[in-house]
Amino acid sequence: MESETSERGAELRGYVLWVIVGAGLLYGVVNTARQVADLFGV
Amino acid sequence: MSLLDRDRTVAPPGYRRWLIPPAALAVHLSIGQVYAFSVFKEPLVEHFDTKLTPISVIFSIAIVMLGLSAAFGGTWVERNGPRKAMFASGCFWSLGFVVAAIGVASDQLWLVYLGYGVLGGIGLGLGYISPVSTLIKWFPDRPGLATGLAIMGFGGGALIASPLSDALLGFYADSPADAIAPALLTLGAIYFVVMMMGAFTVRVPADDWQPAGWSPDKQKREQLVTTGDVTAANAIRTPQFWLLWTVLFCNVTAGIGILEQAAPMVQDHFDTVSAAAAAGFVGLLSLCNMSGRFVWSSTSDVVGRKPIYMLYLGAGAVLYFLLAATGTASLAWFVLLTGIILSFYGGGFATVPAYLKDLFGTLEVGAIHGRLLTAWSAAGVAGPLIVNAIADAQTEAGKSGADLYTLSMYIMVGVLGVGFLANLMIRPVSERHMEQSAEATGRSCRKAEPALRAATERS
Repeated sequence: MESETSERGAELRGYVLWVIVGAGLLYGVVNTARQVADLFGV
Repeated sequence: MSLLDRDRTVAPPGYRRWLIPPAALAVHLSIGQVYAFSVFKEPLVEHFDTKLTPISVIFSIAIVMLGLSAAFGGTWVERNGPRKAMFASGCFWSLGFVVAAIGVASDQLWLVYLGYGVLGGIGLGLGYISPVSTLIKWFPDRPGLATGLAIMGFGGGALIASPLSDALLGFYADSPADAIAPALLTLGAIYFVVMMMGAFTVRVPADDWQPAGWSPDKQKREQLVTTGDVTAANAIRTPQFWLLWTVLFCNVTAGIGILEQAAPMVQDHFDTVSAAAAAGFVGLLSLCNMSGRFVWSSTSDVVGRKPIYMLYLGAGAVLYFLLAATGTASLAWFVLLTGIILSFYGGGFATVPAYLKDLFGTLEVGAIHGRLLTAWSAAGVAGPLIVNAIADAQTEAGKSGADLYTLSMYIMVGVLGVGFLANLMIRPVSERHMEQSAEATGRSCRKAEPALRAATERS
């Protein structure tokens, strides 16, 4: 097992990763929504 | 390299298991870029002054290498743990972009094959299977949800990579053909950072760790899943493995038939759909593919693996029949049918690790999953071949529009029917294939118990 400090670092990276992947998915979904609007002529 | 060793990744008591899925998502969202490779097709054709086929080969090599590296690297991934596997995946995937960029800059197409195709493909295969068994061990109570969440990333990767690649190609030069190399280098750098964050965040649970309030015995009574463990070498000797291989092959063949031809298909069905609107249709299918991975795989934790595949394959066959018979009725109806079919396609991918865990236990589920993914490679050839060959034959016969696809859709109904029967035939794995004790493998695992307790579905 790693030291307590590096464990805290790993936890922090986990939270930061949630933000990064969440933002990435949101970026992708919003762009797709724009394209879908084109499909139905909205 | 001790930092990458499995022993260094064992989580301390109290570690929050919900910090593991973003590590898996970081890898899958990165390698999911492969589904957005089509963005580079036209610029590459122009840059190399060649036809579409030599450029399409790049994607094909990557997918073949994905299947091969997942099949042959599965055991290595299982033995060395998720961090080393994710690290290796990130290195191969990013190095693939760098070598491909050098190939573009030096006008050497073979370097693009070697970079994005071979090296990138190895990164794809290792990355795809790297978090699977770890997630199943962290979420033995909800394996479908956990693997669905990660594998959703592979479907969602294209949603991010497609607009990002477009933006980069527009940013670096006036003509996209002149911006390929810097765009590839930028993507490679971004994916390297994100995948390394995933690699150094992932943890494996301690051998005796269990979720609070959960025990394998309780799970057994509730869902009748196996309590034994089967090695990857033994798993491929069981009929259950090959029946599940057939199930995955049929499900992927049917889905990829639409996915690969999505843009021309919707335009052939409806004259009023422009190229831009067809791109919207492709995007919507990607969204259905991605959300199906999470929604249906999570649902399988409640209804059981076998019933959910009966839905994917049985209802999928009905939907394909309706698409062939009534698909031209309206655009909204066409989009609804294809969207649900693609959600089943994604669900089939995401639920299969949990199905494998139910059948073969957690001991080498990642390695078994890797071997099963050869069904994906085979379907990646079969699905487009059926649709394209029939469309070409129908064109030569003087047909056009929706008629180009009708026969293919009826064939897909039959393909899904075969998968449905294969799923029906899946029974619990025989006791003789199971490991007798944890010590027998030299690794720590749940102690094997008689296989009579094994079953694949709810009682």
